[in-house]
Amino acid sequence: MSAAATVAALGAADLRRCLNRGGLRFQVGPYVYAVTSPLPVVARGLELLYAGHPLAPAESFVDFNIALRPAGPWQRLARRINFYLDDDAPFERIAASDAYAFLEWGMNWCLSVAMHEYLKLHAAVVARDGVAMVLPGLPGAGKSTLCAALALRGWQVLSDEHALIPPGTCQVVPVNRPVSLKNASIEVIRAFEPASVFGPVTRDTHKGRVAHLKSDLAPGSHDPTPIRVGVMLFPGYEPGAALSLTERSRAESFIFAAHHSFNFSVLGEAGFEAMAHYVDGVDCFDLRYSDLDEAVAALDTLVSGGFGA
Amino acid sequence: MKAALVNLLRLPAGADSLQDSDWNAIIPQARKTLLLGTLLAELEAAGLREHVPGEVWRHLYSGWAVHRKQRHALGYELRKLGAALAEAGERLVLLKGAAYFRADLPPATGRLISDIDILVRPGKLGEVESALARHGWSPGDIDAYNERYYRQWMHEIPPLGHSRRHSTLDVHHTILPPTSDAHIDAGALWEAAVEVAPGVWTLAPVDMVLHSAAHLFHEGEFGHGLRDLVDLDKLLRHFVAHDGEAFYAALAERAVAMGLQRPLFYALRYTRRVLGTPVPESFATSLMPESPSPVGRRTMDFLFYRAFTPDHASCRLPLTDAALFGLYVRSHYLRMPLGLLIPHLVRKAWMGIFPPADSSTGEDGDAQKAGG
Amino acid sequence: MSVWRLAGPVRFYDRGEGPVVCYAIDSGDTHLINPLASRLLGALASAAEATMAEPQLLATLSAGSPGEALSLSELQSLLSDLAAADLVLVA
Repeated sequence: MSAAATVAALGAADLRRCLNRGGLRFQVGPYVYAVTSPLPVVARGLELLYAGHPLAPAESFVDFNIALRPAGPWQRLARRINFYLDDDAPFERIAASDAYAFLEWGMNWCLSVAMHEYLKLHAAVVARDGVAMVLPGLPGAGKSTLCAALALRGWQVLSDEHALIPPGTCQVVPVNRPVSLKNASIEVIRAFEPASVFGPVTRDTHKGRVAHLKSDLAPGSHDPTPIRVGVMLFPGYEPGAALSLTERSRAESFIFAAHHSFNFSVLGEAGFEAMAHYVDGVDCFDLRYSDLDEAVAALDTLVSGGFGA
Repeated sequence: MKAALVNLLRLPAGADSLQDSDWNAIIPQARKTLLLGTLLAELEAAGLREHVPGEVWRHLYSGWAVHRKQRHALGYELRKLGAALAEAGERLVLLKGAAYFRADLPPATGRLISDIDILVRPGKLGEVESALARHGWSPGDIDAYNERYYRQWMHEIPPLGHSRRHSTLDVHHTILPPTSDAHIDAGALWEAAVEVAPGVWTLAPVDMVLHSAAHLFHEGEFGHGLRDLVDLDKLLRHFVAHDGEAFYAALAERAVAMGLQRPLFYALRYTRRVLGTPVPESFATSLMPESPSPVGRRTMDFLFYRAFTPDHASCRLPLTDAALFGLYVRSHYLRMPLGLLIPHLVRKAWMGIFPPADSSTGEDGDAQKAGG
Repeated sequence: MSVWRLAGPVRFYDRGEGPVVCYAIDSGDTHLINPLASRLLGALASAAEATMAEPQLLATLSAGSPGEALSLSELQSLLSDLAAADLVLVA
């Protein structure tokens, strides 16, 4: 595969030109996103966080054609913008100051609601030494913070939101994008790794502060080759808790994953079969932790086969 | 100038000469008009799958997967619905998308439905509503004004949602509101219904076509205009293939009896012009006495062509928003006495500027939207 | 006492761990059920004429776990739960 030019190769001026007209087109795993936006915060965020993403040619087919802009002159004055997918604004207008968080959230939404060629779990996915680990999770269970920490300790991040499983396999498809962190987690990760690169911080969203961590540090982060899954892990952050890693039954893990799937229901019986095949191929664990370094060390050991069954 | 999607539906073989830039217009057009699954089926049937790039095909497949789930779920839903209606002593008579699915008619292939529509005899409406409520269907949150609108002026009880299964059910007692020009005999529609599966009925073929035509030209919302025109095209081709030219004669007779010549005239005019439906010249001219003047026809063309063109920048015709608004006003005029029309429109516009605060953007809400 | 059958076809994901995933194909509902419920549904699935009366079910399920007799009221309670989940119904 020839090395594609990356977003960084465009340079600041050309990047802004694309954003203003025609769209900035880049690859995220198997998908092409095109983003159009006149907003400076969007240009800054993409320039910083997507520098390593491969560019897609100007005439290529675009999977998700996104725009982030005011609906009209009144909205521009009122500093309100809409998120558009294919010219449709599926959501209410938001404040322009929330734009960057809205963009990242919207890019997630595109992949969550459309596309059914994969069984899709709501999960973070990381990998080390050719073995992937899927972390399904409720919001607030700490999976994003853990995912960010792993990214900064040599793990590859395939996604912080979507586990894309080709039916009939026990693999996941990489769709690397920045890891989204909220409120205190932002400081926790900055302290964990001072060299971490964050995009624009969005304040006062309904979730509080949101910022995104550049997570394509591992070489091969943008290699689209699917990676075999070895472990499915259910993380649970508990302040003050001692680290514990316990096995979980496959049946319970199946149900949990099905409840945290974007399209298990849409796929019907084929979804049941795909989930069964996938769960059969992974070892499933619960992780209780309060210390990030301890958690990272435990997971390093787990994936290298050091965990006794 | 036709939208690229329309050209492809008319001539699937054209797929082998399309570029990525063409697909960049066609896929969003198909997504907006809920025709992704239909397009996949057309291309597959024509043996053209290899001519479509994989990255494009997966979008078509996405629509097809949702269609497949809807079709499967409908089977289960109809069993539950049949049980509820049986308690009320009423037949299960399906309309529109659900009817096409259950009767296995050509419009069903790849089609996406938004809800289940059934026809109930006016005298049975109360019993049916009670039985449905006992089985988990309810109107949900709807303010008193809109509820009155649905019950009195439209031909519907407010849409019912099932509390557990989240399906939506529209219960109709006739196919057009009582205030419109036509003189629909709902009893006659009922009598002529055909049983397409044990305990499941649909309108007779001529009535199904007339309903599709009437629905298209009296409704105010044209988001699905092209899809509904595609339905009509497929129904006509199918029934004519089965019954021959005699189908047109029966169709004309029924249209006259129900006062639906105008909607039928427009239906045939537009399916022929947009999708190339082979309607015989003689049939169109036999309905001519009922058509508007040439000026009137040009005005209607202006309005309706825009409604049948997907609402996407790649093919949007000039002045589309005005045209669509014109149709919305027109359809309400057809439903309500003029004296009541203005207050209603003013209230609807107000609600458009200050939408209800609980619009859902959470995962469940998005999943519902995604279902199409 | 009643005669029972499955409400529709089901598939199981059972790896011998105890809890079992039960997928109801017609409704698309996915349940996590205990081993006893799983054996009950399995019995109905393979029954002659696809139905079983309560005494039959009681005998079949008790045979599978000697020393742990299942009472009729326990069986009926389980059947009632499964019926509420639309997995079984009275034939």
